Amino acid sequence: MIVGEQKPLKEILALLAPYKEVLVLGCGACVTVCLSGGEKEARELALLLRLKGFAAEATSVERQCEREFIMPLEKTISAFSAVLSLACGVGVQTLSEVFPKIPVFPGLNTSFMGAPLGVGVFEERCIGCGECVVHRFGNICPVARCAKNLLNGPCGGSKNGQCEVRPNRDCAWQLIYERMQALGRLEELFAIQPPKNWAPSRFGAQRKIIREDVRP
Amino acid sequence: MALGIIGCERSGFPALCALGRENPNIWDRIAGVIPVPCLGGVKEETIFEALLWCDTLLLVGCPPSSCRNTWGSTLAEKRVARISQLLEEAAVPKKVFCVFAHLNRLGELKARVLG
Amino acid sequence: MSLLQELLDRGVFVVTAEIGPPKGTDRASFEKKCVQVKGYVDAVNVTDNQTAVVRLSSFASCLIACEAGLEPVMQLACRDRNRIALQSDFLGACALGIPNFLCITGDHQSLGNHPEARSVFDVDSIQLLSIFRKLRDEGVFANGEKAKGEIRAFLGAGENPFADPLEFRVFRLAKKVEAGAQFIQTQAVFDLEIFSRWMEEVRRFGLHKRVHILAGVIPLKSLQALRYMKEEVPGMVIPRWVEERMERAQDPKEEGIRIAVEIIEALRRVEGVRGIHIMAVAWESVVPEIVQRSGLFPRPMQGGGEGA
Ligand code: SF4
Ligand code: SF4
Repeated sequence: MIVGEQKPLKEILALLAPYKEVLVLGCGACVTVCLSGGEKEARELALLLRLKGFAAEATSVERQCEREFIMPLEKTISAFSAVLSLACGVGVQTLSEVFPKIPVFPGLNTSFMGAPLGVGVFEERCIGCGECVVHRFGNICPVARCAKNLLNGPCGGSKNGQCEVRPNRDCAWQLIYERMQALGRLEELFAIQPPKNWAPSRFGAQRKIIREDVRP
Repeated sequence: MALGIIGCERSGFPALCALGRENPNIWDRIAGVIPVPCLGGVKEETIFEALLWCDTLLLVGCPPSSCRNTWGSTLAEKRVARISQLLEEAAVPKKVFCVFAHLNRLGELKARVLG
Repeated sequence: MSLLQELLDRGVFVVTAEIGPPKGTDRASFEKKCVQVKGYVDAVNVTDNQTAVVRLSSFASCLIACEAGLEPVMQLACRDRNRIALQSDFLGACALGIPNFLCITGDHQSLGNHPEARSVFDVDSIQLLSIFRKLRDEGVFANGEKAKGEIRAFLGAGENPFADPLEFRVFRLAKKVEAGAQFIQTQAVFDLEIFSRWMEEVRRFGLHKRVHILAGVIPLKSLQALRYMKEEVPGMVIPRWVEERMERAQDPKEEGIRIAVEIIEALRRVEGVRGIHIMAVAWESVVPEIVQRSGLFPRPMQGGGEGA
């Protein structure tokens, strides 16, 4: 899922300052699960904005990233002078594409693709590199989870299983090592991994997939 | 300054009534009272909605140690802390407090209500 | 031709030292460090924006070291450059006569003074070694295209025997050797026990015959320096006895030198250790004394013996 967190309130208020009638639009997908941009959060934020003097309302759609779910909002949206989207960055953009005339602002910082680990804890798992190699590492992805995306083993800073870069962050390579050891596949880690092909990643160019087989 | 009260039916609400019997004039300050089964079930949304018609909102309930639902008052405290922070960040001049009271413990409530 | 390589191939117990480029264009201060260590070391490592703090480039500083009559080991970190820039700098350095290279992944930028920078990490140190080796030995770039001209380069890497997971460390070394490392400079050794165990493993796999291992040594300047390293420097293990001695010391600098000299003596007795690498960060002036007191002076180029 995509994990995001609400922008600092000050920033949101600054973005909305020139407007009065504001629609806070939640999204029913990932950001609902990560408790940052669902219907509940949209309603709370709208109320807070009303306390601040905005004529704010809240609503939510199933998925803001898809035009089909946004199009029915046409009538609702016309009553507002701005929309604060609590979807991920994809939703914000789709919304603006569908309603190009109304100012749309992001209410979230879209953080990463990850998994919920427990109540209120989310952790990055994948950066969508475009050429998945996770199986070579016991299905613990060093591209996304090692701070230096090392493919050939841990750097010299891993200590007590923690990454040198940030406290309370597991060293991906410690996890990989333990997993591969438990699986009896340690020797697979001794092979030198060649430089990664980053062309299919976001460092290549904007990614686009066209599935001719399913197109009319 | 309009005062709003969300009171737990087990302790907060009876405590408020007791205080009212002692000081009937408190009712002049109170813009509204919402009785609830437990503070733990009071959602952020309810708190924000109440703040639309009052300036100071008190969530009055059992002391955490005697909350029937164990975590009710503790959860309420957390929510109140979060909302207070949001109000402060947004510079909205309204206040929310958690107040713990029952019939034999009116002190804190009295202080908040009578200012 | 690399003098360092020649000495190691001849079996000389070598001494290298690290010198850090200045935070600016003050080449005089860098030249001063060069003069301080000259004659006492066989080569100097020139760090590449170490700890992710911006400094005079490693490339330029290596050339200054050459002018000062020292043989440089150019450190190249993967943090700031992709495979295009790394190969290009490598070619440039080779063309200008820099003979030795140390391929490192590099400290993460968030630990340095530009934490908002974007890192590269296109390749890691092992991949970089194999790219340089192929460029040198087969004359081809990372993409397989032919490169023109001859390349001479003595390739090295770092290794930290003290980082977790400990058991993986020797395999990582093996990968580096496989990828093309001809010499290894280790993280500073304080814990001789862990180091000896690691070396045992190294010998068990016969790696000491395939790569020259130079053990890292850091002279401690003060108790604060020790505490800082212990807490802040990733992958550093400092045993209690070192701390106790520094705590008790009347003259901490002298004690720091003494400890360094003792560690060097112990390291010289470890089979497979082919030299030492002194990292006297911001205390380069102490290098001559340590080399002398360790009985490693004069160096071969000054007509000294061949060492152990
Ligand atoms: S290898 Fe790439 S696609 Fe696969 S999990 Fe890692 S980042 Fe995601
Ligand atoms: S400590 Fe582990 S996760 Fe962190 S950069 Fe080093 S190898 Fe990667």
